[in-house]
Amino acid sequence: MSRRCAIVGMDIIAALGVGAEAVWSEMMRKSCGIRPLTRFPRGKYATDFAAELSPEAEGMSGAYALAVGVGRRLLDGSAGAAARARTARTGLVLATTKAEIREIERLALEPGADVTGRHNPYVLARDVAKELGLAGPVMAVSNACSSGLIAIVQAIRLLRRGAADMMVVIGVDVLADFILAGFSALNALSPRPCRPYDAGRDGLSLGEGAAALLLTLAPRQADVVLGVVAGWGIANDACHITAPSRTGDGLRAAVTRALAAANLSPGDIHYINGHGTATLYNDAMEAKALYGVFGDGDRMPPLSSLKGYLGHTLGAAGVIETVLCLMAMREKTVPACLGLERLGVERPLNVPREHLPLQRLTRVLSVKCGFGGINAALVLDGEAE
Amino acid sequence: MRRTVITACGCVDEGGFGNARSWTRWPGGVPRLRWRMFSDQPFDRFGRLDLLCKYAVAAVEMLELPPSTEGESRPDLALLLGSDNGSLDTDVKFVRSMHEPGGASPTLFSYTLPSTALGEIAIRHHITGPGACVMAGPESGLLALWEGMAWVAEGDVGGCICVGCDAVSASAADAPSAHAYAFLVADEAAVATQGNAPLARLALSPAPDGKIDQTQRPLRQLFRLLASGGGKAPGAALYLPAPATLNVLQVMTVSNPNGRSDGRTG
Repeated sequence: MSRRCAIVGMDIIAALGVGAEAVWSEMMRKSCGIRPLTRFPRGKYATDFAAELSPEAEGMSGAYALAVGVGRRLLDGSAGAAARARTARTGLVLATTKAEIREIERLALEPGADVTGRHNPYVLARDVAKELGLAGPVMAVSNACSSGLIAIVQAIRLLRRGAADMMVVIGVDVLADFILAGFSALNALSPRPCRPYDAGRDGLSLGEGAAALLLTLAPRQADVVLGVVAGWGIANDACHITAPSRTGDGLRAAVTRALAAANLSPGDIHYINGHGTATLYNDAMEAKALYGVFGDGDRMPPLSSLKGYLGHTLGAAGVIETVLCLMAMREKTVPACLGLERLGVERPLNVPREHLPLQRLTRVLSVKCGFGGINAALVLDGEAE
Repeated sequence: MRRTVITACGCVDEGGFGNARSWTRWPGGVPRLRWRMFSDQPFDRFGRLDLLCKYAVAAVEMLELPPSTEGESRPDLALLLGSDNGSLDTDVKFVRSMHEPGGASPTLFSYTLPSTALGEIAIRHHITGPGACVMAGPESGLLALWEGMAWVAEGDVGGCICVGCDAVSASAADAPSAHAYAFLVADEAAVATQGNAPLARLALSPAPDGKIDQTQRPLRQLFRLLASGGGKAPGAALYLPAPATLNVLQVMTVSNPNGRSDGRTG
């Protein structure tokens, strides 16, 4: 069976707004969602900046509210496909690192506290599926920052096995003291908005948000096919639990597998959505890995990180950035790598500082890398079969 | 679809630890895990691992994988972890560390993701194939086994280490628990080529009336069957249900690897 899976619905809630159109529109204005902290004390952590949810997302604080919110928007907005999703055998794969993280903080400090249990990623997934009326298979994927792409892969696997007719994938993570304190302790945060691939990059900026996709192997004629997942690859670095590989071998293997699965060569890719966290080591590793696959600067497709707009949304990043890659294909525009002033990675990558319109932008590679050494790569094709 | 077999199993739980060849019972309750219980080979990192990683790494050690030559990776071997509570134990400890005089512990923070256990196993055994941490409540371990079987059957990888592991201490949960079960699932044809003898054959079949073996701990039941040699008994030895969350009306048939499969692969 073909690995190609149609994406027939998408939505997003993030620091730059609510809805894919709204977020993309802000990105095209080069708006930065990374701003001074409002919900957390300033001066307490290694940074006073993060990409907190936009005011339009008022009332959707917390992973459950956010996931249900983005799920409802997806199912209300995907026209005929959405109507089928509510009646067909539709399941849910939820990607998250910490689910309802504030419950963990409560449990730790107030043993016996009355909580919903949604700090457990599966409980969160189960409750979100119930609220959305999804009666098909439900699971959660918690694979650090590659969770989102791996959740998309798991959803496609379930479709291919006939376990469901349609699958919803939701990626969600929210900011919490836990996250700010943890990344501060690792010295991984930039004191200012992050600068992916820049010579002066000094750490990541955290973000929060959620995104949702609706997948099917059998789109109907009336469905709007936003793109097709043409292939994927996953590989482990097997070298360190938190630091990226120094060689980039794991990511290179994931990308090579994804291209092979999609039956494409590196020259077929028009845009690379990098992980680009703006930490010294991640971006250096990515540069080596991608240069190793795509060759010298002349042949290198444009690459940008979207972290400069929305911060690093951790387990949600793979789904959020997949939505934005679909927007990039629709608008035939490579989004600028916001925050980049002077390229400073170890290989001559092709990273645009301004938005780059392309006559042909139909094939996108998205890569994400996470703690535990897990690298994931996904190939999106804008030309449905 | 390829036919799949289990070639090795490992366990560390409240009863003891072992594999298909040997079993060591805890002398009096579960002690603090120490690496020398599981291997003669040095592994200095073990003492620094969190509880989840210790159990998962130890159970995989019981699989007795052939040693990987230094620098030689295993790209065709996948890793799947199924865990109900994931890193909750370390999450709680980390939050408490945030309020201690020394501040948030970077070491603890590194273990606040269940996928860290996959990383530890991958590093130790040079596994560079795909991996995922899947969560489906108490059936998470069973889901990892079902997924691993599918990954191999669908031809994505040559083999998959499927680990069901939960490790939560009394400081993080009302009902502390710690157990890990590991199974090496492989392509039957490849195993036969290598001349290895599998412990059991796996297949999927429609649920036969009254033959689903419902149990609270299906992986423990599977491990005990394999460790007792039951997987090599004639006929189907065990019918494992699909995780309820998958909504699949099939069972996983665990049967004699040398007999004719009575299940349909697929």
